[in-house]
Amino acid sequence: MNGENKIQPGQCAGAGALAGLIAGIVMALVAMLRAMNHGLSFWLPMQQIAGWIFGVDALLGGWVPTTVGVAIHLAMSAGFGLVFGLIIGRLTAGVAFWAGIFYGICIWAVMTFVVLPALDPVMLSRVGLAPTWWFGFHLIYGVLLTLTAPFARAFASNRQPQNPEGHPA
Amino acid sequence: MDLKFFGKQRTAAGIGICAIFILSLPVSKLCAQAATTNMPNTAVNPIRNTMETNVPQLPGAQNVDEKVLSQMHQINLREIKAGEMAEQKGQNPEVRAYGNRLENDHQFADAMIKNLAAKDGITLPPPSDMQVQKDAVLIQKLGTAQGVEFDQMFLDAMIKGHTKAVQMLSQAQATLQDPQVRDFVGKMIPILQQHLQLAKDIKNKNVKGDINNQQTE
Repeated sequence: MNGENKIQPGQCAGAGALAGLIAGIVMALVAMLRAMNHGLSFWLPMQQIAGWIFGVDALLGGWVPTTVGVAIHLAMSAGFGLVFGLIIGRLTAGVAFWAGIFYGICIWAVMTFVVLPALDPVMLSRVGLAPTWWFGFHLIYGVLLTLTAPFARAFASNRQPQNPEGHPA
Repeated sequence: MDLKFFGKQRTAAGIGICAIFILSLPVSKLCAQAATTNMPNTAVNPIRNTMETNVPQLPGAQNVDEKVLSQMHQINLREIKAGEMAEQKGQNPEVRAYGNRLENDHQFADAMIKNLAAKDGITLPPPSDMQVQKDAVLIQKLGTAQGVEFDQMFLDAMIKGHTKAVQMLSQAQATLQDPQVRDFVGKMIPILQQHLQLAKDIKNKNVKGDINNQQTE
């Protein structure tokens, strides 16, 4: 755990947000490729997310619900990643890996049983058709949050003050 | 970057991922249950507990599961055809988009029905003569209609067809024997309700306006 204390909370949060963003992009790509592979439209997963704002009309597609869906997904991915970074940013990648999986499962549970029933029944009905995939997408997100730990260390090492010889203090 | 983890603990991580995926299968079923139990289903609930079924008799159909799967298969074929026509002939962009959504969703649903039928050893029977005739009349009517008239006729047919389908499946759901078929029907009802709601929304939002515009021109 050398150097852990040198990582600032802001760096942990930034690393978590960046890892969350990358994890969210990968998760979305897997979901969209799966939709396309099943003969559904590539952007349907993003339009389902926009069902929160537009209701069932989001399923008609178009660039507005699609863009809104992408924005909501990426914002939530980065936001959840930021919180994750604040919690585990100073720990090792090994701990981050298992914590990420646990965190992904927690997000899946909250989304499935609290958020979607309350805010987006359009999406809930459609993820119900492929529940294993829906769970798997969140595991992918959780696993990729492992990147938080190396990102936090990279941010910390880049920001450390330099001594006159040019080496980190 | 701290890449130590990726070297030393790679094997343990791989085993862990496999174990979690295997363990996730029963857990993910909870998600399916949530999807069917948490859906706002007010239009369906009053008749959900009715034991009497209203599933049309089909030639060769042996039990309720088979009848329902066959009926859903026929609904899918009709909606796919109608959706294709709407994509090509719809005047309103939302009607064309709706046609595309219908086509995609019903193709997806039909693939799932074929999988379920294959699993249960069910051969989906051809539609009854009466059903073929009814569908042919609808497709012919849609084929001859143009512009706003097509949009209105298509949306009316979708509202009527999806209302009947939701009612039929809601009534049949309680009597289905195979839990997987029952689960599938429970998941399809909200999708069909979405199609119904979309058709009503588009009709109220656009087509009425298009008709008024046409009358004033």
